[in-house]
Amino acid sequence: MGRHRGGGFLTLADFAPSAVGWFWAVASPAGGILSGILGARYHQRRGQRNRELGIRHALHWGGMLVAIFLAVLLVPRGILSGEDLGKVILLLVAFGWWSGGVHFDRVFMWLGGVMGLGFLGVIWVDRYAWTCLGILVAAVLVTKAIAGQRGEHTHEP
Amino acid sequence: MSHESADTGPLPGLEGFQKMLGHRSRLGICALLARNDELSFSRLKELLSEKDGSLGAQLRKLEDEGFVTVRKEFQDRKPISWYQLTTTGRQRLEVHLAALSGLLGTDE
Repeated sequence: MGRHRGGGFLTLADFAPSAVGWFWAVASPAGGILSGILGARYHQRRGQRNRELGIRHALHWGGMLVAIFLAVLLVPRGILSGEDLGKVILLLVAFGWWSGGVHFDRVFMWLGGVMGLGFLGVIWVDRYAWTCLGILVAAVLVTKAIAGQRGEHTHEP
Repeated sequence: MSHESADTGPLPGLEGFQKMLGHRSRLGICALLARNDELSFSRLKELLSEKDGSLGAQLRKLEDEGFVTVRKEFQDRKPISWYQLTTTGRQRLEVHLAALSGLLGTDE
């Protein structure tokens, strides 16, 4: 199976495996909060305010984060090796994005699907599977962001 | 040949029909506002594919009848009008939708 120690995510897992745990422990919640702020600002600029939708997003992505932090507890309890934790987290994240696609925006399903395929990659391929997955995820994000930008902005005269 | 229906009484649910919501744009505005806390004029225009004048006129009618409220704001020196459905507006929309369901026989 995978050669990286300590588990982790995407490209970092192939090139700096020791930094993976700490990096994502900080980056995940920080990224979530930043994403929430940017999302609110985006909708504000777009002229749409929906508090109930914001709460649903917070519950969905916050729930996913809590599940990830609970999964981390499997390592000190000796139930799961650090090496395999990253794979479990990848599966949780893939499901989180997929279900986000079901409930919010179909674009998220693409990411969930790619991550699901990536999960198969990291359990069967020893080298650079995380890096390949990182590139794939980035490509999906960029493609969908460009596609989503078309014809969105109008201003009140 | 008679066109009279077998039911001789008034059409069920017709009394709940809101004249104000009989117009495509006004119904669209209220339906969109029911799903959002607030929508700007520009966003409503975009979502309903309406012209400025027509949308403005329909919004004014809804405002006059107490269906919606408007709040003005400036963003980067640009005026933005934010519209919100009032409690009365929401109640009357629900009554109207129930009436439509009644007319179509889908409220059972």
